[in-house]
Amino acid sequence: METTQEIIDLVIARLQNLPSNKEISIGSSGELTKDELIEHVKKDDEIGKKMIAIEMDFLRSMKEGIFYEQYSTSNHS
Amino acid sequence: MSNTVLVTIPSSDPTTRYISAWAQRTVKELESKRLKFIVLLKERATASIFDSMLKKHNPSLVFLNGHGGPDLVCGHNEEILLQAGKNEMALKGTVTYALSCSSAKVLGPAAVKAGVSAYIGYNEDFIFFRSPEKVNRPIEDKTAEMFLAPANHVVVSLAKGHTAGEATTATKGYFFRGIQKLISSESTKDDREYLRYMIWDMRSLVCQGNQNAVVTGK
Repeated sequence: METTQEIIDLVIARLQNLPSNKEISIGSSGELTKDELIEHVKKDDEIGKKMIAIEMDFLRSMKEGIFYEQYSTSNHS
Repeated sequence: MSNTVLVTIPSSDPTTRYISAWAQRTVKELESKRLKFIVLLKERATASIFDSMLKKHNPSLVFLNGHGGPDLVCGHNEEILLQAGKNEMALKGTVTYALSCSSAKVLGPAAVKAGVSAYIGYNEDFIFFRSPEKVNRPIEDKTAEMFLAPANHVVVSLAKGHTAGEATTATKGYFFRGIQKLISSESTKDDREYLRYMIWDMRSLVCQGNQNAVVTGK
């Protein structure tokens, strides 16, 4: 499914904030810099769509109250 | 129940080099405990050796590190070790943890159907950030640690005698504590950018099959 330009622009704006001196490892897609990630999002290819999915999941998880989720906090598990 | 853990540690590109370094550290930390670790390192992480070791040692825990996909997990140089519809039955009776992308989508459920006690893995790509200057010293990479330390906690928790379900919850808890730390004022602006990726990994981690399966007694 084609991603709307509005969402692409939003994700690019978010990715711009990533540190420039780090690389992201995405499975067998290899290691990518911030600029490479942004290029993939602009192209709306497989890696770009993955980045968009992560952003959307993050926004959704905030709406669902992710920061209030309860997991076992025991240090002994 | 055997007290053996079979571990695959391929190392053929920066991603596998990183996850391998962290897996080796985990094995080293747990070696003196009650479990016996059989490590298939680098060129030994091949399909034929993996299959042979599974049959010979009948491990209670299989710890897979490497590239993966919805229906498969790879070893060294991306050689396929396990693939749904081909050899998932080789995991029968084990608790298996795959630190690998997406394998809980298809391979995990197929393995459960074939008799694996529990399959712990990720139903999406496992993502982590790293510092390129630390490529030869992955353990010193504090950025990668935020992702790889919690990811290795599954094995630490299982080694303490916790059930597969408890180990999964404890690992999500480890991720969650890291996430809480990032949203606190102690963290840097740069570090806070990793939040969504840590949440992604945490949410992708699943335990399939028998939640009460164990690999060793408490």
